[in-house]
Formats: sequence, C-alpha cells, structure tokens
Amino acid sequence: MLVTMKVFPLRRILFCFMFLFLLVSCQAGDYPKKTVTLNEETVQAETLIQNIDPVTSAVAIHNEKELYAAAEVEHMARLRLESIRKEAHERLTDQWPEKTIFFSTDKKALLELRKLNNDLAFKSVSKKEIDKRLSKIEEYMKG
Amino acid sequence: MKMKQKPPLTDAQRTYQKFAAKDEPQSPVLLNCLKAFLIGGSICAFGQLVQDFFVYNFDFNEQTASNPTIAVLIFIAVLLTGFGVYDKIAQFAGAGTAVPVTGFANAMSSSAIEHRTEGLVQGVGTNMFKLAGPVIVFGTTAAFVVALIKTLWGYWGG
Repeated sequence: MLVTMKVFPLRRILFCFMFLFLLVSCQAGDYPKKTVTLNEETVQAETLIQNIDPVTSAVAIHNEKELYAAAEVEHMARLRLESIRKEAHERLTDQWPEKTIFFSTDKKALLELRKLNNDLAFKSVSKKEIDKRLSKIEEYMKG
Repeated sequence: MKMKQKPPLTDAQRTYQKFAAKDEPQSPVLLNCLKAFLIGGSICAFGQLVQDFFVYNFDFNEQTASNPTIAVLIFIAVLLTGFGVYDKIAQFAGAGTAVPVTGFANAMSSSAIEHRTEGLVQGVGTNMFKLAGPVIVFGTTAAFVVALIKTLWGYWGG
C-alpha cells in the first residue's frame, strides 16, 4: 500500500478522477432517454426488433417508402452484432416488403432516431426537416 | 545453421543454481496479472468514455468516433510520458499499460525523448521505431495470418 501511494500521489489520482467525471458529465448531451409511442406501425416494428433475444431497446420511424430502425443490444452480445442486424433486417423486410429497411445497432443512429421520435411526438417538425434528419441518420448507419 | 548445444553443468554450477534459486525472490504472477487487468481495463474504459463523449457531443457515429478517440489517447499517453508520469504507472501496472494503444505511443515517444540529444534525424528519427518496429512487424504479420485463416474458413468452411 505504501508503495502504491508513493507511485501514485493522491493529488494525481484526484486529478484523473476529476477529469473522468468532467468527461462523464459532458456526455449527457440533449438526447432523450426513452422512446415515445408514435403510432401502431412504429410500435409493431419496435416490438418486432425487441423480440430478438439480446436487444434491450429499439426505436423505429416510418417514412413514406422507408423504415428506419435502430436497436441497443446487451453488452455481452456485441460480438454477434452482424447476425443480430441480419435477423432484425429480415424480420422487418418480411413484415414490410414494400418498404426500404434501414436498420443499425450504431449508438449515434439510435440516439438521433430517438431524438427525432421525441420531436415528432412533442414538437411540430416539417416534412423537409424530417427528410433531412433521416438522410443524416442513414449516413450514420452506413458508418 | 546448426544450433550449438549447451555443455552439461558441472557439480559446482548445479550447487550454485540450487543455492541461488533458494534466495531468488518469487515473482507475484497473480498480483501482476490483477494489476495489469485493472489498469489495462481502466485505460480501455477511459477510451470508451472518450468515444462516447465524441458520439454524444459531435457529428461522429461509433465507427468514425474511434479515430479521434485513438488520437486523444495517444496525445494523453505522449504527454504523460513527457512528464514522466506514464513510466510510474507502467512500473505499477506492467503489461496493463503496454497492451493498449497508449503503450505504443509511450514506446515511440520515450525513444524519441531518450535519443533527442543525438539529433533530429540520426537520433529521434532513427531510434523512434527501434522499439515500436517489432510491434508493427508482428502486428502486421499476425493480422495477415488471421485474415488468411478467416478467408479460407469462409471459402471452405461455409
């Protein structure tokens, strides 16, 4: 213990922790934490994705000819993200064969979709704005 | 080339080896592993925090956020090496600080600092990759072998 204290003075440890806390506190951003129910079709898509085992939460937004969806998976299941994405995409395609499906497990896509979901529920968002934001989300999904 | 075989030990040498082994301090392997795990894990957790910071606050997705994250980690590691703090952490954590990308940054920057008196080209330029060179060589070779196995597995294994 004495050796540890000599190598890492308390002031340095405190400085490191303060820096960590600063980073964590900056992370909150202005992203909503929960998905709001928009319509029956959206809920159906979200439930369809959430029925896949390691998925913890999902968000979906229907546009005219497209369906944008994103999901969060359990940490230990992140090694099989590819198969989860494939399965979710297949399920959504089977349900809405006429639509173009965009599905991702990317965090940024999930956050932006959830933000749009909340904005659609509580604010008035123009069609142009929705299209612009969805095309940006599509870019996030592609990486 | 034929390897030279070692000559058999004499009785005196054997006795000395036994005597030395008795007084040799035992290396605390488990404790070292635990320290490496904790510090290495903390560095990786910090990296995850930095990545999340970029995802939440800037126009990056998970994939593109890894580039500035690595840049930040390298910058911090180089800065800590310059101040002499990284060496102290490495003394405590051992392999825990060598494995992540920060270990590579430390290897390069410490070589550069050590040889700066020999000049910019002959000193810093020549010696910077002396320690980091094997990492690149074996890293690239390992990546090639793994990629080859993966490709063959996909080709024949289905």
